[in-house]
Amino acid sequence: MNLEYRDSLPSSNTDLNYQKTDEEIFELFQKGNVDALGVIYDRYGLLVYRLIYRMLNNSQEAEDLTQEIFISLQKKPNYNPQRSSFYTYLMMITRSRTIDRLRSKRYHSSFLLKKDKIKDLIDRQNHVNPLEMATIDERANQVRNALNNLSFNQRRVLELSYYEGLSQSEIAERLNLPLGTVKTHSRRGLLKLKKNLQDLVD
Amino acid sequence: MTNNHDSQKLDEILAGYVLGNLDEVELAWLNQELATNPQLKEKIKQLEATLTLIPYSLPDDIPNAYLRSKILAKARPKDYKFNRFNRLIWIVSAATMFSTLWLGINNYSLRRQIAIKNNEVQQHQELIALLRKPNNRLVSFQGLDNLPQASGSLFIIPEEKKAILALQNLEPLSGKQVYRLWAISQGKKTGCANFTPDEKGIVYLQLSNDALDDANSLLVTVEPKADTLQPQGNPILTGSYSL
Repeated sequence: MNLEYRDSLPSSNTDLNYQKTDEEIFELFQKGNVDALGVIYDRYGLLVYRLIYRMLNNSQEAEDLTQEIFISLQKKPNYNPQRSSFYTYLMMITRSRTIDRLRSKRYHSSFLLKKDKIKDLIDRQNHVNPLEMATIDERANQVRNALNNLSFNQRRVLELSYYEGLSQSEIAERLNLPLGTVKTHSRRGLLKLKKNLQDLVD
Repeated sequence: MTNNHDSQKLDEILAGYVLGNLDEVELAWLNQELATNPQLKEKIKQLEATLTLIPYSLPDDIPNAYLRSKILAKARPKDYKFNRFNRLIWIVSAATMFSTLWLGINNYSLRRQIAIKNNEVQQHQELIALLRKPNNRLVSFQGLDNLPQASGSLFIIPEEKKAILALQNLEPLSGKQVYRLWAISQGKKTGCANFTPDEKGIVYLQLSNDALDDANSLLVTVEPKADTLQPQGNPILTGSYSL
């Protein structure tokens, strides 16, 4: 997968060649070039934040965890380029750590979550580079279309599994569906999604 | 699970693996397949990549603009930050600290010297005041042939019935030997005090003896023992009244 984002580069950073792949940039970062982390953040910081925000429903926690994840890349990077793209690795550790956080904060009431969300919406200001937004928006449209092509249940099962970290049996219970049906929906949904997003995956 | 799975079934098993919802039988079968068909790993890789694309569909929420700089600031090594930003501050702070310390020590030293000088001045003033008193007398001692480098003074204060003897460059004595001060009046010698010097050859002694008031001259001898009635040893110093 190649998800570089070459048209929305901050002009201030002259030390790095923005034509480099994610993996090359990450290697530079591992060798001590901290500015390389800035490039990684420019490419995927927004997606990391959004995923965490979607899962935790709290902007402050999402920012804190985003920071933790990017700093953790420096502390104990165990990325293996042979196994996955850097983007896949980054989003996998993001989701994994957010699920851990989610499980530890299940006690939060829905009222508090809604209140946080409303406050966040009021507090938020748009500071993102328009070019960065345009690049992400282009891919976002592709992914949204691909998800819209799934059946209602396929999408719902996938999203419950992905964003909320629920097990198949928990999803079955919540949707009042047989466990086998939930598994079939999730597996076929993922395969269909892959087919519809093939150009991004290859 | 058998080897008769068609391609669709295999893909579903791979998807189940990525989603983490394989049962034990499916997982065991897949592990066997992976051992014989490494290309399946590439398919797994693609399915994992697909799953991680889902966040692109999320609403347009954005973090605060400072998050990027906050992350980079935290990621920078401390020594880097030190070199680039804090070194000058550190040097100035260290210089200020050492300057303050040096000034403090210097100040203490000056105050101490002033105190010592003040004390010396006070002693000198007291001595001058004593010397100005009309009845007070000062005797100067001069070393004789046996010990020419010896010298000293005796200051007699009749009103207080006391005298202060200060001698220097005396030699150490052996055995029971002592130095003895004699007051000589009209040829008669009266023993006034026995003493021995310290390791530097100095004697500082306060005396109380009426014979000193009537003496015409003074003598210091080395005696074989203390409290001899008449001088038996060699004369060392002789003194005459100078004031």
